[in-house]
Amino acid sequence: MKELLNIFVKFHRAFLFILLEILCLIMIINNNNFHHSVYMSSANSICGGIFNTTSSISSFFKLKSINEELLLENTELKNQLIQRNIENDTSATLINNKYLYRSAHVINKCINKTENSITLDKGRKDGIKKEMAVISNKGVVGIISNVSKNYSTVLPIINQTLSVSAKIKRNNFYGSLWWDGNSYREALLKDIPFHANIVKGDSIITSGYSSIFPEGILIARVKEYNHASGNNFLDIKVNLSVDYKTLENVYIVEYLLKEEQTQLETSK
Amino acid sequence: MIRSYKYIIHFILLITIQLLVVNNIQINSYINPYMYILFILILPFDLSKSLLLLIGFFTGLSVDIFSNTFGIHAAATTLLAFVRPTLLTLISTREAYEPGSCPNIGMYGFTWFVKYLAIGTLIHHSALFMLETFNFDIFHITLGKIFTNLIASIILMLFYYIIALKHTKKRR
Repeated sequence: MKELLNIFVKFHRAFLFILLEILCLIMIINNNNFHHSVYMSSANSICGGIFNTTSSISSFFKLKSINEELLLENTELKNQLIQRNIENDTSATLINNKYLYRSAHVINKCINKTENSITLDKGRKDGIKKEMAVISNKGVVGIISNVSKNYSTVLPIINQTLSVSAKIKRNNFYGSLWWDGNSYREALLKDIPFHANIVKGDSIITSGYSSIFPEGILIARVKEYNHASGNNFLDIKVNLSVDYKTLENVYIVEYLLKEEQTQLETSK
Repeated sequence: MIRSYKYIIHFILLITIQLLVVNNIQINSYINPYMYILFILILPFDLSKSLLLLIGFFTGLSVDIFSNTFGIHAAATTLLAFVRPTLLTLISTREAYEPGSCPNIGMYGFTWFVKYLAIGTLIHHSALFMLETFNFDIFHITLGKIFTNLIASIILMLFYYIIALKHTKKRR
């Protein structure tokens, strides 16, 4: 204690100096608006920066589970929405849901060839069957082509073996959408008669005739069109709404009344 | 007692000149000299170092109160008062300063006095203008301010010294 006091006595000038300077700084920060704001803002930027960094790091690790949760919630909501729509639709004689949504993750994809495919992490175990529709929040992705116990493969629109029944949202002209094998962002819409009124940017949606896709899901937008002479149909180039390069989460749509419909259609 | 009376008069004079005259000199918002620090620089050598610190603090504080810049001048003058004894030993030309005297031209020479003023003012102005801008982004502007004001302040202080102090020293 005595030594401590000695030190204090020895350096009393330095202590006094530091004390006075601290007093000055307190005065500067408390009494001058400009300094106050600068101090506050720099303090905020430091704290904010640290907070931002830590939260971004932690959220990165949480990202996967958060995504999962959101996807589940989305599925739930979509199912609820459909139920609600059916309840409100007085003309519908259906009591049950027409469509059931299941969420899935893309675990592998090949989009650079002409025979492209996408692999999902849901399979027979999760109730996935062949020829179910696969959509994402951006639009139509494709159709389930093969199912194993835990996985399923998707035949995407950008596969030349698949053509999807589609219609123009504005005037209901319908044709079939087919990929020409060139760019993964573009496809062709065929069988649209030349008198159809088309504008660049028109939405092309699913027609609902195929008993696979629900009606009204966006597939693409018209990029350009021309009418070759002597042809009754327009050549329409469309931009696909789904970007397969960034595709991560999808929904698998089951048409619950498919069997009934096909049975009726095939019966003689 | 007479000596302290003399310093009080100098204190009042310097602060008054600073506040009423020099603070109104503002060329291009760049030159805004501070000559009141001469008061700290001309205090006698044998003054207690702690007392010097307190005097420095209150000198700055009184300027602060009148120019609404709480703490900025006080911080700079406290720093100046803190380094003054070290500065004096660093630039001393003789073995020791004569006790009881104060820094003056008559005893230690004009060059020594200007050197003393320049280093002291540089320390004070550096602290002052950096605290005033409170920002290192425009450091080159602050640096320019420090040096232009340094020259202006030294000239003003020399004027004051020659007019008000030189004769009193001789008479003593």
